[in-house]
Amino acid sequence: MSTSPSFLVRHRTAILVAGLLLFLPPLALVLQAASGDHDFCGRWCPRMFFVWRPGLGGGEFFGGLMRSLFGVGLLVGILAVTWRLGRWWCGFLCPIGGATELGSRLLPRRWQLDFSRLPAAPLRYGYLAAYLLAPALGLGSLCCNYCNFATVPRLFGAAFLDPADIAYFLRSAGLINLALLLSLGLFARGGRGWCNLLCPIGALDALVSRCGQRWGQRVRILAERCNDCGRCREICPTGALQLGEEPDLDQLTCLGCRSCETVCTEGALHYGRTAQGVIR
Amino acid sequence: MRLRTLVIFLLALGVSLAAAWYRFDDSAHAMGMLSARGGQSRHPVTLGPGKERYAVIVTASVLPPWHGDAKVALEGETSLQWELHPAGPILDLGLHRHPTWQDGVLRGLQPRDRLAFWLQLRRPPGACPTHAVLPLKLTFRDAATDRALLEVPIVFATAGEESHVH
Repeated sequence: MSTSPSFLVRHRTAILVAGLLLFLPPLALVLQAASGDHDFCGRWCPRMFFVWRPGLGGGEFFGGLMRSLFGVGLLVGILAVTWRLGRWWCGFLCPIGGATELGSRLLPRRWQLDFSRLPAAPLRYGYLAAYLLAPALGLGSLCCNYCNFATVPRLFGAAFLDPADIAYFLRSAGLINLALLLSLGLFARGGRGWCNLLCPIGALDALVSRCGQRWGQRVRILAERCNDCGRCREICPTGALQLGEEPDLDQLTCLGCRSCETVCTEGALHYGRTAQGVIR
Repeated sequence: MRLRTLVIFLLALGVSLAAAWYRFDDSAHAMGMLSARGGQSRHPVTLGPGKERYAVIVTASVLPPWHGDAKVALEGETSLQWELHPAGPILDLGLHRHPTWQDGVLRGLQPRDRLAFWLQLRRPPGACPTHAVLPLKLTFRDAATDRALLEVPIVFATAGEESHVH
């Protein structure tokens, strides 16, 4: 794959589809080739290994890392790429967000809920804080009860009538995950409600993106070029753009998909380093 | 603005903590190890009483040096109908070896293999809501010797008891 930004933006839909083939049933090509697994649960889980529980010693924590070794590698890789290049995983390759985004494009816009006005960052980090705190306090766990990395692959498996994947949805937790997937994914404008509000990987990724914005490449807004037409805000799946007298792009919410770039006729949005534009 | 952000953060934290604390009692997850000496489930499965349908997820790995075929069955007396579904690739590309599942027997298990099963329990129409007369257990037995490799007890809680949902 070329690393040319224009290539990524032009072929984003094809890359999202490739992400589905690489990571989701029926092929799950990367998972099957690397380890013989077929979903993100177990060795590929990128969400559970960093959660601490009372009584968990260093050896057991290390054992957890080893059990999810591919998931650990995936998360470290995602965050390293994000620091340097921006949120390529979330914006281009993530099969979970990709599936909901592509699915949402199939539905009429009038059926979709607009979550872009919600204050995503405090909601997301409130959820992340509970995700980390609840097991540590012995209260319970949000992982795996509310897991997009479990639900989306199983929805694809259920579509192929796999009995184990169908069984996932025939219980309260499965139905709640399905409801979250439909309301925050397929029926959300832009299809990224779950990513933006309830995905711990997305929350960590956004945090790294925000912290590394001075050193890495990101989508930037050039305020002096913005004519406040609103097209970028309309297409942004996460509501990261604020226009008006002081145009702003919230790096803590920006997905890095660069859809805004494609609709801006003034060249006010571009992908690059600090020196090439104005940081907002 | 900062106060509003803080309030929203605390609200999300509170709701999410409540969601983490709440446990669904129609499904549970048990983890264990298949061992020649008889492996144990890491935590027992406790389900709520009186439901129409339950799901139990059992994940296990095979402890060396045992290898071979394993019969998997629900043991105990119950009026519930049950089905077992092993998780596996939809399209097996054949890049790695997998144990095969045939007539309730997992064939070709090797040390360090990982297994995932969905046990579905369903109350037949018109049956009494009292589900189990004796304790149920999902048992993995060595197909050659009939020795138990792993037993996962399944308990139906009375009011006030909790289930483990993972």
